[in-house]
Amino acid sequence: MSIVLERVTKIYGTEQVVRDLSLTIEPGELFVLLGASGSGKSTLLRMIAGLAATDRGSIYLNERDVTHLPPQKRGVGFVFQNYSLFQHLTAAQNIAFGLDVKRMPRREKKQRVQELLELIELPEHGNRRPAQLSGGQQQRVALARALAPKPDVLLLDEPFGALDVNIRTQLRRKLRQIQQQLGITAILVTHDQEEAFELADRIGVIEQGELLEVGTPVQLYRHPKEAFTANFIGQANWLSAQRNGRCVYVDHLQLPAPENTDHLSGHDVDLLIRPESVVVLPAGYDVQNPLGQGIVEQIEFAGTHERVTVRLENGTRIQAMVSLVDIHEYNIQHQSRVVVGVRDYHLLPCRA
Amino acid sequence: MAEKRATHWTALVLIVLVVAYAGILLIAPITAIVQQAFVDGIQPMLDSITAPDAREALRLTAIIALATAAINTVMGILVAWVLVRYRFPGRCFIDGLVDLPFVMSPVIVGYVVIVLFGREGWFAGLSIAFTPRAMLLVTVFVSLPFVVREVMPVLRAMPPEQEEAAYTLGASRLLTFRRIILPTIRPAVIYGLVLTLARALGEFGAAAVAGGGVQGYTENATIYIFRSIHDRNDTGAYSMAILLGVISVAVLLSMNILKQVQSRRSQ
Amino acid sequence: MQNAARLEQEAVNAPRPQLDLSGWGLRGTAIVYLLVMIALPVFVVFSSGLQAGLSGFWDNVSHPHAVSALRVTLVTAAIMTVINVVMGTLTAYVLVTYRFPGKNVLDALIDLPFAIPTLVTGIMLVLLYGPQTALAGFLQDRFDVRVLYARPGIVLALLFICYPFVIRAVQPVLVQLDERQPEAAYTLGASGWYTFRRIVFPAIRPAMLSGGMLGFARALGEFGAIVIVAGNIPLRTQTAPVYIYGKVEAGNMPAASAVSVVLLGVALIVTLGVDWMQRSRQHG
Repeated sequence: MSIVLERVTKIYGTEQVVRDLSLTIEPGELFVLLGASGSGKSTLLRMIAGLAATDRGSIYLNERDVTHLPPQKRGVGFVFQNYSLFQHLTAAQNIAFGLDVKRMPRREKKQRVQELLELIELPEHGNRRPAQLSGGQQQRVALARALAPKPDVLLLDEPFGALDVNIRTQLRRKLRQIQQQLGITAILVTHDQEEAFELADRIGVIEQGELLEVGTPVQLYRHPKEAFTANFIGQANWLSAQRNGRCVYVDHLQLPAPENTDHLSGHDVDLLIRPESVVVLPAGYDVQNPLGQGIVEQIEFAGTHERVTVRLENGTRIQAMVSLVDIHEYNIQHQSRVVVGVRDYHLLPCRA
Repeated sequence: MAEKRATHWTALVLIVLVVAYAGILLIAPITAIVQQAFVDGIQPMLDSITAPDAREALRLTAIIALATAAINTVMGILVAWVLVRYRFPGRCFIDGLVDLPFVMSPVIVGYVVIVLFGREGWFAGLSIAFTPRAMLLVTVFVSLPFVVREVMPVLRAMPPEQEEAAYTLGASRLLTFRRIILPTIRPAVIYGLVLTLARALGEFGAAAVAGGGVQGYTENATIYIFRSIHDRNDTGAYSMAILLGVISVAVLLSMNILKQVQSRRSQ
Repeated sequence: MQNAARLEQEAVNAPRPQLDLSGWGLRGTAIVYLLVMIALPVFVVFSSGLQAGLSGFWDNVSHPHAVSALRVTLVTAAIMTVINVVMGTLTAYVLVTYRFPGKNVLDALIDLPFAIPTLVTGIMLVLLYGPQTALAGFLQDRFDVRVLYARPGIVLALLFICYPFVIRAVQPVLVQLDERQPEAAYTLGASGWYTFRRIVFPAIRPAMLSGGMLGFARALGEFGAIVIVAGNIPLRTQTAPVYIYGKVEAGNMPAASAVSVVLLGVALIVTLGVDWMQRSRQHG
């Protein structure tokens, strides 16, 4: 079941909340729409579900034009951020709702509901009302409810947004497992990049109603095409540079140009360096691709690593993730004189 | 310590004041009418309210109250739903209109019916004035806001996602209303219905003006009381007043209990 | 970006326009119903009241009986409102703040005036304060106060009918009032009375006002109870609704319509004022 969006646009008042957006999602894929709040990602999802009207453009589900169909006729399952379980019905009755609509025979229905309760690992909770379930349990029931009528497409609108961190992680795994098990095409909307990385086959970054960039998590992290993407996904050091011949010049320093960047030759570029690609060693050591010497300005504990901020001699600040082992081995401290090198970097056309 | 003692005394004084006020204002008059019921015994009262003209008046009151409740429940839910769920030009104005029957004098309501449908009225041909239909019309008017105002906040508090979830599960609008919206607003509807019934049972001014108060035709229970007072038929007036009061209070009480039971069951 | 976020949020929360015809049908039905049922009567009152032109209207309104009826109505409703706001607020405060035997009974009794037909209310007051009763004799002899067929009777009837308005407006606000707010005031050394004045009172003032004004508007139109207790003596105890009733019965429509315009006009201004106050509070 594929999802194809062709130049869809949504207008509220004078504001284009979704702008001329095209996208193809492959069958069985879990696609994550990643964007800040207000980026238009939820509106786009609601348009696919038929909960918001599409002002321009077309939406195809499995090559069927559904642009002007009501939500009832689209065959999508929708999971809302705030669970939205029917408060007056039990968990089992909630799951059965879509089957009631289809007038499924009683016995078959009962079996299907039980199947789903087991799928979400709440086999004993069928008779509970939403108020008697925890947030995580409610969201699992909401997922089962959406899946019960065997929809062609599963749409999830920030489904874990209202949950605690550890429950969120558990549920993400569960969702990924169920989605793969059923082979259902799914779109998940989130503002949480960690969630996007963990779940997505592909991620679409959306900003101000436009789809900036689509790619696998690795592509977007390591080779983003847009500065916005680079900043939105993970942390970034930015340096101004020029690309000439086979080299990249940062001030007087010279780094070998990465592959496939010939089209940027002769241009001002921005150099993206992820903190974990930065090497920090005591002054005097040899480093690959040196950026220069500097003073450690700040060291923050960040769990598995220390986040080290170095102020280079030319005044530039560079952030690095340094392993605890290295910190101790090389005795890197506040105010240490260090030399900074880079393992990996990425070029983007100059923003200005 | 002195402070606490002072609050203690304040509390006592305030409570006594409030209870005394309620006693004088509410309880004394109620006691007076209940006492009246036992002055001459029950029998004369029973006789007077089972007399043909009293029975006829009660019948008319009951029919109009039930019809009003039915109309205002259906239309009240519809109006509440439209006002909460849709946005359209003039919505605030329309929303403001709903409360108007609460503050429009019943006499003026009746007067409007005469102007519209009376002998020289704008729509005189419809022959509505001075008939039970006119009484139904004004009763529907004066009790129109109750269901709307009870249901609106509940609908507003109900997240639209509930309806949307039902739509994405394939449920039609009607099915969604029956299975999702109605169960949620039911307690509010019931409460609005009770208030509507109580108001409809006791409507006097508008019904008297619009219906004309023709004995045996457009005379409801309250108009019967009014006529009885004029005719110096005190027993008739008092017995009917007691009966109406008891019915109204009973309706309110029973529906209140029902509402409590329901809200307890849904928890 | 924050603006965009808000916009999207609004777009998601706002009542969504639907494209289908059934939505328009329902909407149309509801709007037309309200316009016919409610806007039309208002239009009728004003258009028929001003039919004879402003001078005709003025002649009818300035008739001594009409002026007196309007004055009696406004004065009694105003007196009632002052008492009702004070006692209603006090009752709500006591019900929310203190525990005492009979509290639940009192709380249940408050809605009673909503249930009892106002005509019956009038009869109850006649039975209690009627000329032949001991209480009436006592009040007459001791204090030279006549309740029935006099203005105190009107005020009393209105107090009964409007009893729930202020209480039911103030009570929920008091319940919702964060109890830590007064507590914070106590820890800052404020006395109970001072805390009430500076913390509790400002919080409930809008509810007191709107409850009081709605009661006032309701009282302006009261007929059933007053026609029983007031005696309807022109120039003394005849209220505006009773005056209108009399004129309609007598077929004097111009006189009825002129007073109706004033009465409805005042009621409308009061309710619109309350509405406006609540709206500006919510949005401000």
